[in-house]
Amino acid sequence: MKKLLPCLFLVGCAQPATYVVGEDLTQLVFVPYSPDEGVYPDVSVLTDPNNPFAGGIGPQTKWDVLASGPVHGFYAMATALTAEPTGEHQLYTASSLQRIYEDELAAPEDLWLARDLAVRGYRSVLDNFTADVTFDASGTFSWPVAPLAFEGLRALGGDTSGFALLTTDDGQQVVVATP
Amino acid sequence: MAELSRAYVSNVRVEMDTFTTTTDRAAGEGRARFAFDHQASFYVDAEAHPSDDVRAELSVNLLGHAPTNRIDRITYETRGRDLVGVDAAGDQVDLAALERVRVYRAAFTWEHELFTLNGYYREPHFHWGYEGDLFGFYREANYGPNPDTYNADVPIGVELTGKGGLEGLRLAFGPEVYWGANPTLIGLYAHKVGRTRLAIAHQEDIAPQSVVKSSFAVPERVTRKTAISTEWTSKAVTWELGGLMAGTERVGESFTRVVEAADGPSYLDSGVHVLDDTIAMVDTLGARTRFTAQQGRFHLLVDGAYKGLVSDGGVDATQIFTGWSLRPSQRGNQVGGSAGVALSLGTLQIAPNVLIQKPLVGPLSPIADRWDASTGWYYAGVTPRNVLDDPFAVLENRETTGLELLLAYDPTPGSWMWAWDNEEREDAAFAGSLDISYRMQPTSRDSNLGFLADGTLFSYDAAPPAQDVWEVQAKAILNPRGDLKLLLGAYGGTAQARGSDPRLLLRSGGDVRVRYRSLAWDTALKLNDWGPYDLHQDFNLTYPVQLSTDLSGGLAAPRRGKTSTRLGLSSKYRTLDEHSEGWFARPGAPDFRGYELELGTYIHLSL
Repeated sequence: MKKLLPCLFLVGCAQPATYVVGEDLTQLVFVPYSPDEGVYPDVSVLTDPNNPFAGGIGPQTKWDVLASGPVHGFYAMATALTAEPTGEHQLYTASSLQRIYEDELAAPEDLWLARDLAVRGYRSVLDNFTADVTFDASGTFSWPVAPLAFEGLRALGGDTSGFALLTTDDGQQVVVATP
Repeated sequence: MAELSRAYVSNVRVEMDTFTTTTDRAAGEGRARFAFDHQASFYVDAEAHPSDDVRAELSVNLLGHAPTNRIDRITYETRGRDLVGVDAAGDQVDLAALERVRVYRAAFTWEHELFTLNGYYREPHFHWGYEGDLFGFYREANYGPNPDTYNADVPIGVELTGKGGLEGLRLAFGPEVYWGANPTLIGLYAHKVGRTRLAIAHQEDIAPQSVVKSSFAVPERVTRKTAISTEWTSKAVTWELGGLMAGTERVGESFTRVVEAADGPSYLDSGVHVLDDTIAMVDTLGARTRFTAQQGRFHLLVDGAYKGLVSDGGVDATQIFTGWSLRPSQRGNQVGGSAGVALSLGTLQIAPNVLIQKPLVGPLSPIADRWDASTGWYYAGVTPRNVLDDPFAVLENRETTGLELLLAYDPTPGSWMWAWDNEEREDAAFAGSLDISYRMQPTSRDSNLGFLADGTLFSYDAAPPAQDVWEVQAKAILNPRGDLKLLLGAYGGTAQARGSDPRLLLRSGGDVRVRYRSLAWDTALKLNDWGPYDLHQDFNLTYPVQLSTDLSGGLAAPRRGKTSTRLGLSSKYRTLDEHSEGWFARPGAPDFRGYELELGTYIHLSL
């Protein structure tokens, strides 16, 4: 026993290594971790124990995950937003939150916060990423994110003050800052 | 009179430069393609002797004008250029005036009967490697022009050297006692009994470093290190043995490692199994032994170490027997060592050297993550580790088998060829060395850290591949007559980027420096080599040709680290290709080579 004690001191606390085999996310639910999660420049999603992508998510994987539903999509896009703050990531983070709210994909007491985060996410697009664009799956065609965020804000009854949504002569929608 | 000598201005330096530059991107014709600007920079040096035991020095830089047209755009004077802030109303404010006056260097010494206390601010200091710091906690801080280039206030701290009743005690404390250090306290106590010296060293980081100026010296995580060592010396033999405990605060942290998957399935078809593991107390332990022997013409150095995963030492800058370039890394996560023989045959020294090191846990190669929508399973990706986000990383401790052959010719060993000031002290008619090294690196490494254009620190998501590299370095000093000295240097070899770019360089170059009385002529040529800044090594930015020359004369011969009154002409020329910063493609001319040219004049006055 006396000989065993030093060994325990050195290695006894170590956990045996475990094989990484992937994670079953079929039961993933949205549980807000902080009052600003998913709203630029907040990065609390990276420490959210419920975020399966906190270690980072790949450039293609985030789109695959987004297509699987708004809860998974929120964590994927909010994680991508911390690594690459772009209007595209902020837009899809907010739109995922909007769907979580509208489809009631969270506990009732969390739904209102989901709506609030969606509103502030859309507003963040207007405030921080007004000129950003998003691309189609082929990466060939792009369109501005601000009009989509403006529409999202309007649908949720959010504050669009300071911006106006206009339609140009060629039928394109643009968001402009108003005095 | 005695009162006047207690504080006085010891020197005033005036540096006036002009720069005429042009590039292939310049618009216009003829002289319209040239830009002209000037630099005015002034230094006032003061000394104070408040008592016979205390001496202090202060050097202040006054910036008159910083040029905007230099081809090497980052200099000490750059700080006073384009410095713009935003006020409360959102309007831009020119803040350049805030950088017009800056403390350039400061130092003080207090000689007490029990200690010598040295304070330093941008003033070099030596290491404690010869005093019992076997694991190199207190690193040498001598960075040449780099603190000026990157506008870094390093090193900064105080160093106490005990004497009398405190003989053997050394302490260092400060915000950044060596470049890249966290605010730290380092202590060493060594005591000699007969032929044996016992030493204990400790380093306690206090807080994370908040200032990062160069990717050459990125501060690592706050840590704690303790080492004990012993050194036994006889007439012909020295044997050192030490134990190290470091990184205990990381015990319990998880890390990822991979093991090769034999036959059968692997993680995401990567060929490896991925494991989550945890740092244990045993991973904080390390040991090192070093044995040296000399008998007549024969010198032997054997150095071996085992370092647990987080058992990081510092930097060993000791120089033993000769100037070998293959040296063991002091980073944790490795087992290995080196063995070298230096054979002196009259004025010729032949010194082969072998280095073998292998990480206990190897580097991580990137594996892309995957989402399986049909099952709802997510397979996380694997990215290379880095020193900030992970408990350890494989960097300079990557798996290496290195072979080196050093040949040196030195007919006047009294002026040791490997001394830091040998270029000035060497008195032989001819002295020179040739160093050939080959590193076999069968695996890659983890990720280094770099900067984005806005100063954001980031970790590369990959590393250059496994690659053997070789290097040849030659230098020679000629003293054909009393007032003429020639310093020659040449190098060549292969090299990998610090970042993630996989392109392997085959670079070469050389320099010729001529000293004749007070005249100095320096010329350097680099072929297919990195540019002058850290970002060039980070992003693997190279120039096909870099040529510089500088001719100056003055009141006295130039001396290393000293400024004297000089008048000179300088020029820099480089060509640009698709791997160069500033190059851009020309339609229809994919092989187009650009160029940058700078012509300078200067007068530097010093009292």
